[in-house]
Amino acid sequence: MKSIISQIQSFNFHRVISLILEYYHRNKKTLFISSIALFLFLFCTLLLFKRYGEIGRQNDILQYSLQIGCIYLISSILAVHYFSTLWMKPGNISALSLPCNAIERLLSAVIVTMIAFPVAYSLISLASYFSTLPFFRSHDLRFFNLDPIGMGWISIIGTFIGTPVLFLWGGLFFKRSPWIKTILASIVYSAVCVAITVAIFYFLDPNWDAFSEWEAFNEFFIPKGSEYVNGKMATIYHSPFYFLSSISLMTCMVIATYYLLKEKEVK
Amino acid sequence: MVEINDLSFGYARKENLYEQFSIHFKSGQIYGLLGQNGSGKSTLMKIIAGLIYPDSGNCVVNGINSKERNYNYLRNLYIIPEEFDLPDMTIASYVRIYAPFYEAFSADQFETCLKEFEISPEEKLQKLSYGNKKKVLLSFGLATNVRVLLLDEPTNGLDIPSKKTLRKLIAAAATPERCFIISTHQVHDLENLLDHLVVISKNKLLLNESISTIAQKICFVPFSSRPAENETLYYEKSFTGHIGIVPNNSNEEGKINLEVLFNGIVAQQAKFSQLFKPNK
Repeated sequence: MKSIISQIQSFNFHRVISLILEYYHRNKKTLFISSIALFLFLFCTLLLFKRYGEIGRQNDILQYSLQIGCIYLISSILAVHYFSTLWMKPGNISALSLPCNAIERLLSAVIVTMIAFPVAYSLISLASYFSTLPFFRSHDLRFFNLDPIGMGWISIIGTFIGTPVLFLWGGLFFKRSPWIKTILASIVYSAVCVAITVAIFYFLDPNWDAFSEWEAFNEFFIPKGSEYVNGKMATIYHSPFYFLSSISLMTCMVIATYYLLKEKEVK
Repeated sequence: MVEINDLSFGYARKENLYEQFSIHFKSGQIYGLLGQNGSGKSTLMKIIAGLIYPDSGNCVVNGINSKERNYNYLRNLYIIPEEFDLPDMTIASYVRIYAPFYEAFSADQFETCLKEFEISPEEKLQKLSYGNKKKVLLSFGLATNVRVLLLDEPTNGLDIPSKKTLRKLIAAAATPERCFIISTHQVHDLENLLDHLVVISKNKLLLNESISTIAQKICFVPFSSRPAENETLYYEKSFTGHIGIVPNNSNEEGKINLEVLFNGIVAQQAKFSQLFKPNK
């Protein structure tokens, strides 16, 4: 606690900016290549979707999933490697002895992975989408829907803001194959959370009576032939439970990442 | 300035390198840290830099415990490791990005050092040879004007004129507020530069004396033939016959042969420890 107070007292936002610039200059080739790769991949696949895909909501959802999936994939890979210099010999000596506080280092990583990456890659995704428009007739053009499956903005923002912290933590915690191990760890964590929740609910109400009226699903339109039919989708993304568990996981990951940064050694 | 108290440290699954080890480094001094391979010189440097935490005991630099490793701890400390990795950018960009972390960084001093080493600031770091990269790093380290500068094998990879330049630059950068700790195998490279000599051997502080005290207590005598055992503290073969270390009875300070001294201390630990009772 004393250590955190002393770090807060000597906190300087200019150093956070310097750390972000240091990250950018050290990795600008990777960032440039990943941006170009994302643009080209989305451009080509969106063209294919437009050319061969059916016009309709399902197509929108597929496009949306592809775009979100690509942004998520690139952001998570870059986030998990954000602190990779702290693992790599001999560069880790210079990286770790750079005068800054662990809090400043963490904040720089949070700004880059939680804000800069999602914003930059979303803009690239949008740019690739709009670049495909001139190739089609006007009646094919429909405005890009950022939320076609109705997850809700809080859930979208929560997913994009919450997950980088998990990958930052994974990059510091796992020395080898951090990306895969972080995903596995999050699956295990989710499974444990679900098991605990079910156990608690079962303990409180073995007959599930209190939850019978609980609206676990919301309406969702699924295209069937030329018509749309009602479907149902789990509303877990809308539930306070999901929101709270995301926030608590994110907070735990931030604290864990801070301590991993503070305790990191070059053995 | 740097206080190491009752330090214990060992790498996993290996014998402890340090056990209840204590040493103090004062400001205004250039320390030579000598030891055989695996004696723990680089480890000690990393502990001082806060890159490795002691298992027990502590390391305090400028009044801050190394376990804090916060900005205030790191701002007055710079380590030039034996092996390093520099990013893919020009020297000028490197300075632009990394200099803001060091409040007392002097761009003029950096340029002067680079000029002395005959390196252009426009050159790309990745295109430089190992020796030239090291010169850039040494120039940067000297220009940071930090209070504690740790140099691990600084002369490795440098050509002969550059070693001389480095000695000149270190001597020029030394001030009463700064402390330089230089670890090396190549003791000849540091002759006439050091103020203080520290010799360590796995967990033992074999010598911790100022050069002046050493020169007052011992002298180096050439022998045309092999000297008798009780004639010297230590002797070894030289190009002209033998060279021996004998107690200095004249009270006049002579020139120190660091290589022979180091060999003598390692070979005759008991004799030298009696002569130089290690200071904590």
